[in-house]
Amino acid sequence: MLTTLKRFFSPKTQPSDNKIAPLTPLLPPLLPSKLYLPLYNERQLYLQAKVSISQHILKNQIIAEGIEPSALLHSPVAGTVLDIIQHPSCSSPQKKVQTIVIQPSMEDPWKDEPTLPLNEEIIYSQLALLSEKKLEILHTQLEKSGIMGMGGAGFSTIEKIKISHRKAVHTVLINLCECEPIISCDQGLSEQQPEEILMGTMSLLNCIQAKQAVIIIEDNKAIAIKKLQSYLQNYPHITLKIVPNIYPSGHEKQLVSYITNTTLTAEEKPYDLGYAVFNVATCYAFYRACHLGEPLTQRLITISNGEKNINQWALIGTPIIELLDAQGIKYDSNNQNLIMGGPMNGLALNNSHIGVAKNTNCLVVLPKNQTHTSLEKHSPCIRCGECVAVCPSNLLPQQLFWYAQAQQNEKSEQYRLFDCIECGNCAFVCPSKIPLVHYYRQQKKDISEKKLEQYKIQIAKERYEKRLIRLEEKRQKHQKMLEQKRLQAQQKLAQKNKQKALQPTSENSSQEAVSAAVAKARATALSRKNKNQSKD
Amino acid sequence: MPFHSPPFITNTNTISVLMSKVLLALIPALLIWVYLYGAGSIIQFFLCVITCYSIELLILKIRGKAIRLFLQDGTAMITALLLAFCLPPLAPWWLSVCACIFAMLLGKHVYGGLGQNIFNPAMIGYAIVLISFPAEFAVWQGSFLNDINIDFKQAFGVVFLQQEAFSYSSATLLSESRGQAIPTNINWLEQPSFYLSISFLIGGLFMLLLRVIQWHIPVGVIIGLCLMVFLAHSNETLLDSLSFHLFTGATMIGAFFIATDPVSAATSNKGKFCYALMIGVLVIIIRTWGNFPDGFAFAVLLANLSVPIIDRYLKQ
Repeated sequence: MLTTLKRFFSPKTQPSDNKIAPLTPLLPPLLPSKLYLPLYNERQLYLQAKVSISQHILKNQIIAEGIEPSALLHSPVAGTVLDIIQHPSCSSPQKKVQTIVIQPSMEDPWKDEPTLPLNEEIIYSQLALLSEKKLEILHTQLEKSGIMGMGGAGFSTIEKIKISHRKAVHTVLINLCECEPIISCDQGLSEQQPEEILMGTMSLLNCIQAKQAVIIIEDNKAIAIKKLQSYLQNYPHITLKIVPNIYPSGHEKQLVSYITNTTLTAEEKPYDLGYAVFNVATCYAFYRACHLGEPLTQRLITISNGEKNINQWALIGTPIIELLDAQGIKYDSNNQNLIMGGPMNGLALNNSHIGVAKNTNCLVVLPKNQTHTSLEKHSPCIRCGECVAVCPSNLLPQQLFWYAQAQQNEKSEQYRLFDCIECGNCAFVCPSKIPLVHYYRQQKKDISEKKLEQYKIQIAKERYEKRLIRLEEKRQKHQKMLEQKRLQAQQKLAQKNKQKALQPTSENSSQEAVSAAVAKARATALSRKNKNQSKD
Repeated sequence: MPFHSPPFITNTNTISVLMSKVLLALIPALLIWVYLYGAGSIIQFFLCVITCYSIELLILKIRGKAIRLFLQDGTAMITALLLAFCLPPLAPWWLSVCACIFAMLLGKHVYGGLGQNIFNPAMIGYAIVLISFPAEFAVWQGSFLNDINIDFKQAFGVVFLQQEAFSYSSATLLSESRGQAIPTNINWLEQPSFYLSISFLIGGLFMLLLRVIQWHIPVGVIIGLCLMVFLAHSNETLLDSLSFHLFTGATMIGAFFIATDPVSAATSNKGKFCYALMIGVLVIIIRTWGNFPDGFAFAVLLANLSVPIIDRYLKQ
């Protein structure tokens, strides 16, 4: 009764869940005919290949390195490097980047390299107090695992651990909220591997030296909750928090607000309040690195055509088309969108030959007519306020749209455009079908570019002013020096004249004539130089 | 250029779906109106709808807009129906046509069409003809409840051929009591405005349930109205004056169907409530001390005027 009343008075229109049935088995990894591993990662960093063409490689062998020590690529299979080609990637679907192509070996594709070193200190279910030195060694070792945030942003996990340790994070939040429709890989993982997730969480806690961990899970994952709870008694430092399934509860800011009851502003990061957020898949990958010594070479992916969903383990670099084909999902680029990530917040790839990345949690093929198709076709905004009712950041999307159209950047900032997390709720409910997120992204980009421009102008202006001051100082210094030299020359001349007056000889007089000429020449040269300087 | 921006799914709600829900909510009132006022009202409805759509079509063509998209959205239909509910059922044809032209032209398209108008279009049309031709509004057809029943031929004669309509007319409660004390002991079951108010209320609750509108505006209007009744009519029986103001004139249609026009209302929830309070208060002020029997149109237009300032100060 109360909930119906609540619904009546605060209308929330949610995208339908459309999730996989609980306890659906996870499909084992597919061995593709080729793997595409781009030398360009999710943080827009270029990597350098550590293998050459036609070289034989083993599974788990490092094949590329970046500037960041943790930006690594491991080969998911044993095989041969076929080629290094220009190919689009998940993080740059529009432009081609250097990509290593690996052909798995026919005989033994799983033949692997010696694993990462294991550390006993962090694999227990208790908190371990580690010295700074020990931690540093640990972090350096774990950098070799190549783990990245697997929820979406793709931030290096080891970097995050280091920052969290530096910022004295006390609580680690494990994100088990898959609020987006369709995506269910985290749900599947937590149903099948609950204990491993808890073990990974403990290792994370120890590496950060945090005090406790909270797993935040949505109430629609009943089986996963039950399974996790049955293991929790062995882990006194981990608790479970069940939150309602409301899109976008899985967003970092929403998660922190569940725990602290305060909302983070655009500038604040969870570290500032003493929290660090890790995705549950990251947690599992961390378990594999710490307990089994395996680097990150495969991940769980939800594959869907909007109706049929399946969770499948996939090797990093597996071409998307092979994954789709294995499920019998047809992709036609003219009439369908291929989306990486969820349908609410994902990225349109439109090329099915791309290899999956470490942060590819979901692949969806959806018909194009379900989507916003163009900027011209939508109806005008009628200010109905549906978007206001669903905005998780409590913004006024219709006003923001107005100012985005008019390019009134200052007004948009007043209306907190940068607090928008681009969840897509507003565009989902909009009766005029306005692609609002597109407008906000455009304007954010525009504002950032203009600010950068302004900053550059400011810097250039300061530099110019400093140069003027420097030049002025230099000239004054020079003039002073000249003055001094002139004075010295005059004194010398006076002295010589004195000497000459005392001992007048023919030798002296000729010498004097020479020195006088030299002095004269020097004086003219100096005056010319002086002139030039003043021109300058 | 292909356009790829999330979200890749949307719900099925569109403007035309929204408007058809409003239409659905108007059906009970429509039936009661036709039952009460008979043939004249049917002629009036058709007249308004046809005029509004013709003008919409014409202006969309002139402005070079996507005709199908805008004709399909159904906003012209809502404007036409709301106007027809405001005009006397036996008003001469030129009055209705004028009201429709002003509504669509001055109320909507001069500002840039759907979504851009500052004022409620139907109320602009109504207010202009009300001020320009007050005499036509003095004649209000008696309802079926007063045993006045006219057929199509008679109605046609009055509307199109300027025949005498006086024999069909009767005073309404609001115009009767203007400038006097509020009548007590009204037998509501004999009042056409009561049945209409109830049907609008039902339609409004239906819209609330379907979440076409939010509660802020209707509740705000009614609270504002009650507050002002309490202040202005404290010397009379409160219950009588409250029921009088709630069930006469345009209170219910206004609270649920006119003030809730999202385009011309305030934006934030607080702003909406404030905007609605203002309407409620203004209605009673105009009814009690003003020169017109019902001030709903003016109250809405005045509140529309203050929307920018409300939006400025009540952002959240």
